[in-house]
Amino acid sequence: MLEIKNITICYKDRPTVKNFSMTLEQGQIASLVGESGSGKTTVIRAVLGLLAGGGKVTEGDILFEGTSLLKNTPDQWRKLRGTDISMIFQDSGAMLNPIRKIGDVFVEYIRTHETISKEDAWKKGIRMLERMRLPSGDNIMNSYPFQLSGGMRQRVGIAMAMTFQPKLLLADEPTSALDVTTQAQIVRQMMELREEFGTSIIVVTHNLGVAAYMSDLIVVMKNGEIADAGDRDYMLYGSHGDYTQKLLDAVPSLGGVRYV
Amino acid sequence: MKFKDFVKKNKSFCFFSVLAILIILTAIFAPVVTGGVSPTDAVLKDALQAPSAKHIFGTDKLGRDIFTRVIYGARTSLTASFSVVLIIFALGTVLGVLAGYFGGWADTIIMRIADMMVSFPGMVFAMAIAGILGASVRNAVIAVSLVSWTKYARLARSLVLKIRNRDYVAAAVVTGSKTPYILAKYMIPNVIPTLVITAATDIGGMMLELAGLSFLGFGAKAPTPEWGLMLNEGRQFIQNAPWMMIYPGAAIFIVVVVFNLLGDALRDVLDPRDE
Amino acid sequence: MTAKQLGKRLLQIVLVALGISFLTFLITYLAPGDPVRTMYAAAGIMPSEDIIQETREAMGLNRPVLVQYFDWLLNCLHGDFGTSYAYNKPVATLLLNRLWPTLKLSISSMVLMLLVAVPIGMAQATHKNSILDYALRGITFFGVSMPNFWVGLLLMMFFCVKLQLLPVVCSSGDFKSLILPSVTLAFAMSAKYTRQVRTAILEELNQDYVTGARARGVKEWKILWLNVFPNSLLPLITMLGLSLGSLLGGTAVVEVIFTYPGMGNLAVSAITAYDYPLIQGYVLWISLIYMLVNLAVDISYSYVDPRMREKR
Repeated sequence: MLEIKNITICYKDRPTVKNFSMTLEQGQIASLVGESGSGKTTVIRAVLGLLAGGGKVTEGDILFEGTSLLKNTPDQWRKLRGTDISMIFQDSGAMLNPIRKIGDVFVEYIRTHETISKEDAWKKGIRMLERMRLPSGDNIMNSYPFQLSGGMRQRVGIAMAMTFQPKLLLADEPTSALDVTTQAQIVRQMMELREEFGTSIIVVTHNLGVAAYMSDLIVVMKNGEIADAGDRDYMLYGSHGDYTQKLLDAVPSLGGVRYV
Repeated sequence: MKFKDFVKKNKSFCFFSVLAILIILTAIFAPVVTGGVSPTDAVLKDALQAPSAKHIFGTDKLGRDIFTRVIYGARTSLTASFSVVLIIFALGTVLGVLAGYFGGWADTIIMRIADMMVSFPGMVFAMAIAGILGASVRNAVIAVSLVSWTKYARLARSLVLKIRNRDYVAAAVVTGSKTPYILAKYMIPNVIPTLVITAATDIGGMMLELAGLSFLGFGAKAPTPEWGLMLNEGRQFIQNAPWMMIYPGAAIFIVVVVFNLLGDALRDVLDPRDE
Repeated sequence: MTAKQLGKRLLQIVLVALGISFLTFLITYLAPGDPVRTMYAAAGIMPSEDIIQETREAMGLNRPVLVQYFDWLLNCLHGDFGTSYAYNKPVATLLLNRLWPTLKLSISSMVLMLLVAVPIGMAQATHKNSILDYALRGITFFGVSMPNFWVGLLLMMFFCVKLQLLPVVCSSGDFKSLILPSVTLAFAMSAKYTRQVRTAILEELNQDYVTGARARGVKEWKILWLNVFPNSLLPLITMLGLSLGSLLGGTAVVEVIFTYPGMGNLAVSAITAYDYPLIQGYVLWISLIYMLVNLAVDISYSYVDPRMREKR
């Protein structure tokens, strides 16, 4: 369903991502792993057409369900975002206007893509929140982002992203800002999305443990290029590259058993 | 060679420096530029003449040559604005550094006064001071300085507070450096660049304020050639002799533009991180 | 804002008002002019030296400065700000008569300024570093460098003398007489504010929530006008409050040019005439207005921004 073909992404004529390719099938979860600055976020931003500050895909193509995304007009991009392709962030709470109620932002979002009354949009928002196991959705809708905990904000972000049951969910370091317990909950919740909606997911993370736990496919990036790629078994136990081994060695082990 | 590189790298700064120097030179050599005509020479039979070959900017109600008065006005305006900026720069730096470094009651007193000035419309107060002290360029300078120094003091204080607890300052204290030495060696150099930028960008604004005071009659007194005052005199002849107000106003405008641009360019040279 | 903070701010306002009024008092005391002579001169009388001394005694001007100050202060608390030498009327009445025209002028020029500065600043921010941005930046730069009294005179020359559309003397205080003074005041302010609007909007555009809204496919105009703009109003309102100070100073100049019947015009003539009670009243009133407006701004801030409301 998603095919990234040899893309090069440049910021001010300097390539930050070079010759990157990957293919994702319906219902698959893929991870992009690498150090900060390796270009992983740039890749998923390119898929959403949201490259910050003058970034541009200069070579290659991105095909989503067989059609090239790069030929999209701004309005086509806009209609695609938040419907067929959604994104969640490291701190989804920070991605909401801090001085507006979550409900208002939610309603604004729903009514962007669907002709529906404000009341119905509000109800739809509550339903989504409750589906993501956020109790008392009405309360949350009436809260401001800063009033919620990190884990709750992240779930609100996921609930919003899933509103239109996207075919592809892009997750940019979705668990990095959370404590370990919450991290595990969020990871499990994302995996359930696949069961429930058949959503394909690309997770960007620097945590190889998280990547290994949830993905079918792992791509290791270094300096804007693919350093290593393969399915989970290959990455963990197969004849993977040196750089992958270095990353694996960096994962702490407990009693000789590596929990990745 | 080095000079050439500097010019190449900071073209706009050099360009506006040259313009500013030209303005200053014009002021200094006013008698030469105007060909020896006195700015206060009244020839009543020539009063209110439109610009002509003889009087390129025309004449005022007393038959004085406006071109001459505009050129001489640069002297008044530049001296006054530079005095204000120098006074508030020196006063603000010294008081701000003292307040920041020593803290305690010195800090309390200086900063309370500064707070008071900030929470008050400065121009209104300057108007009152200048007016009550009696109209003169000197009193206008005093009035504007009194209400403007606090900005520099606050800035200097905050900059000193930023570094006074740094390790290298503590090390200097521990190794027995005397306080004046620390102030001169660490505190002042830390404060100067930012304040110089502020001062450079303030020259134009101060010029406007001083001209404003003169315009209201709280600054330069007749027959001093001063732009604000000339505008005020020209006001009454707006119908018959508009050149009386056009040229002095244009003079203020041009000089303020040059100094504002110079200030901006200087900021780019000293503090390139902005945009 | 908590009740405690509010109390602290009010106390601060009182202290500043005391400090400013004392400074003004001190300066009038040290000043070279003689109020008694000025007063008689205003009435067209040439009094003898004895009469002057008697009047000084009667007005309490021979007492120590501190006694005079506290006497004045005590009267102020009762709403008696003294009697103007030049007009021989209560200062409070004089100022009150001029208060509304000045407020009208300030408000209309602020509104005018916002109507210019907000769209231009917005256009600059959304087209950052384009030719449009540079061109507008150049124009605003020249605007900042124009003396407002010159702008006023040029406008007057054009609209009143050449085209004869508007009155030269705006002393009636009706709508027509408000136009040119407001435009003059708004002119320099717009130039200054366009830059600040641009900076504030650019700052907001860099916030994460903008990326978030784009990632949700929200329409760009909705992001700009329903999110970015309201959010950038917070810093802008604070700046508006603070620039009220220079506005109040600026009205004086403009009021004089157009002989507009405002407080600034009154103050300028009071200063010229050494009318000390009127000057003191003016300085005190203006500082109180200024500080109260800024307090109101800070309070409103905590109503608009939910993060501040939480801390209340």
